[in-house]
Amino acid sequence: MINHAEAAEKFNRDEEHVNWHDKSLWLVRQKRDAAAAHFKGWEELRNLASEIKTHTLSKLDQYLIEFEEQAIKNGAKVHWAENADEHNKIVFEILSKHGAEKIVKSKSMLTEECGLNHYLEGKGIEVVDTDLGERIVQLAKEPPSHIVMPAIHKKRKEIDELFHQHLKTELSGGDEVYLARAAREHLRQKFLNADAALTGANFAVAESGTIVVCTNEGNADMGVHSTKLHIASMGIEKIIPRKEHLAIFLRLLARSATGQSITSYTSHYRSPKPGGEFHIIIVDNGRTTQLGRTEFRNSLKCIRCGACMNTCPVYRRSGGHSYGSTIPGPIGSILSPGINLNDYNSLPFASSLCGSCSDVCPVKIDIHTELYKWRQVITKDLNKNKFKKIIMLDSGFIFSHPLLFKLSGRVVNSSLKIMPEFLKNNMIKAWTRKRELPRAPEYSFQQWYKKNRE
Amino acid sequence: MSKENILNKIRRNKPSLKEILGINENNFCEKINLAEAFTKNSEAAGGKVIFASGMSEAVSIVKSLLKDFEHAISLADKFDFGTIALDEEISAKALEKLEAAVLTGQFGVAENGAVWITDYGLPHRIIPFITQHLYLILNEKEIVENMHEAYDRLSLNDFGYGVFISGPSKTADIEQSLVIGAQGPLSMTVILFRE
Ligand code: SF4
Repeated sequence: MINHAEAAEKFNRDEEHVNWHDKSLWLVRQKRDAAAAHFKGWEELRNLASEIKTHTLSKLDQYLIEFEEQAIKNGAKVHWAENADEHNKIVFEILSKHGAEKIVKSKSMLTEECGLNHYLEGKGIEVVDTDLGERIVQLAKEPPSHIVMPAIHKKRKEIDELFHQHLKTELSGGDEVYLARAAREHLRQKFLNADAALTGANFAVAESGTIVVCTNEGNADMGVHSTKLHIASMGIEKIIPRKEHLAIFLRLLARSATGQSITSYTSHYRSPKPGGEFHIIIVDNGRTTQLGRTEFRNSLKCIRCGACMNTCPVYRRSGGHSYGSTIPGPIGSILSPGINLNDYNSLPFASSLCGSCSDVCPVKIDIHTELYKWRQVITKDLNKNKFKKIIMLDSGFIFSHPLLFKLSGRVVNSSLKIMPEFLKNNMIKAWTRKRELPRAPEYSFQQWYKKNRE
Repeated sequence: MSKENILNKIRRNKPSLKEILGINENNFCEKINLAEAFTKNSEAAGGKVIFASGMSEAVSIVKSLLKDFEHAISLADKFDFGTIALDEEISAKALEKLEAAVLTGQFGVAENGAVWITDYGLPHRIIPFITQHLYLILNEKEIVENMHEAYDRLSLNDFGYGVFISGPSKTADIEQSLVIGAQGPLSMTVILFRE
C-alpha cells in the first residue's frame, strides 16, 4: 500500500535536491511550451489526436484484429497476453526456444509494469536496459522515476559513482560527456553480444501491422538490428488506425515530452530482418477493465509523453518514486488505482487539482477531473469501510467536495510555479516543507469552506 | 484463448461507436521555405547540413569528408567509394569498426529536419546506427513541409524497416545535459544538393 504523502515527505528532507528536481522539470515544461507556441494549429492537432483516440477505442477490437492480420502477413508472430504473468511467460518461452540468455531492452513502461526484468533474471537471463537513463536506474537497483527521463532524480555525482563501481570508469566529478561515452562503449558491447532484443511500442498501426518506436539514443535500433530475435510488447491501447494518424501523434509526442520537434529516430518495424524473427505481444493487464469504466476510460488515450508530470507542482516536489507505481504523476494516479484501488488509493489525492496536467496533455485527457472522480469513489468506499486503512491526510476530504474542487486550482491558482497558496497548511504540507510561499489567505479560505459546507 | 477473452472484454466495455475525423492538412500548412526550415530544424536536432550546388559537388564534398576514414560504406548512387566489402551475409559484428556510412535519403521533412530511409538496398539494417558518422544525401527538391505530407508520400507497405532520422544519437539523461553521441552515431550530416 502506497502512502504518497509519507513518501513525499521523505523526498522533501533534502531541500536542495527537491529544489533542483523541481527546477529541472520546470525547464522541460518550458521547452514544451515554447514548442507548442511556435506551432500552427496546435490546439486543432490536440483535438484531432483526442478524437482519433476516442474513435479507436470505440473500434478497438476490430483494429486489433486488423493489426494482427497485417502483422502476420508481414511475417511477424503475434501473441496475446491477458495479464503480466502471461506476458512474461510468453517472452520466456520465445527466448527459451532460441536459447537466448542475454537480452538487450529498450525503454518499455509495459515491461516495467509486468515486472519482466525481475522475472527473467529469476530464470537466469541477463537483461540489460539500454536507454541511458534506464541503465542508470537499473545499476542503482531502482525503478524509473519518470516515464521519459527515468533518471531525472539522479545527480551527476551519483551517476559518476555508479559507473565507477559498475563500469570501472574513473571518478570524473560527473562529467556528462565522459560518462555518456563510457555508457556508449559498454552498451555497444552489450548490443553486439546479445541474443535477443526487447522493445516496447509507441504506436501500432492497424492497417499495416507496423510497430513504431521513438528514441533519441538509437538504442532500440542498435538492439533490434544486432540480434536475430526481436520481441515487441504493446498494450492494447497503442493501436492507431492508419499511417496518417502517425503524423498527428508524432508531431505532438516529442514536442510535449521535451520540446523537440521529433526524436532522433522514429523507427518503423514491419517485417523481420532476413533470417530473423519478429514477435509482437499484445497485452491487456487491466486495460479492458479501465475501458469499461466510463469515467476513467479516457486515461487509455495516453501516449506517455510525460508532460503532465513535468508540469505537476506535486510531482516536481515529490519525485516519481513517491507514487510507488510504474507510471507516476497525474496520469499514473488515474491508471494505478484502476489496477489496484486498495494499494494506490492515496494517489488521486496527490494533486492540487490545478488542472495544468489537462492543459498540457496532447491527447486532451481530462486528467484533473478524473483524479477528482477517483477521490469520490475512494471517499465513498472509505465511508463503507471498504478499506482497512486509508492513507490520506484529513484535508483529503476537502478535495472530495464539489464546490472546493471548483475553487481549488483553476480559480485560485494564478501561478503554477508555486502551489495554490491555501494548500500550504493542508495536505500538501509534506510537499512544500521548508518552501517559502507567499503569505496565504488560507484562514479566510477555511472560513469560507466552513460556511459553505453548512 | 487469451485473444478471444481480450477481444470479448473489449466488445463488452468499449464506448459506443464514434466516427473518425478527417484531417484537414490546410490547417497546418505554413508555406515556409522548405530548405531553410529543414536546415534550421536539422541543426536544432544536432545535425549538420552542407549545401552542394549539384551532384558532382556533392560527390566531391563527401569524398573529402571520407578521406580520413579507414572503414567506410557508401550506398548512395554515384558515391561508390566505400572501403568495406558488403554482401547479404554481413553481420552486425563485422560492422563494428564502421566509421562512416553514406546513404541516400528518400525525402526530408522541413518541420523537424528528419530524413526518411528504408531497408531497401540496405545490406544490413544496423548500418545507419552502428556507424560512428552518418552522411545522408538528399535532393533539395525532395523536402516536404510536415509529417502529414511525409506520411502522404510514403507507403507503409513498401519496406520491412523504415526510419525517420533527424540527427545524431543523443541523450540528456545525465542531469538534463545534452550529449551528442549516445548509443548510435556521433554525428549526422545531410548533404543537400540542388539538381
Ligand atoms: S496523460 Fe497526457 S500529458 Fe500525461 S503522459 Fe499521457 S499523454 Fe502525456
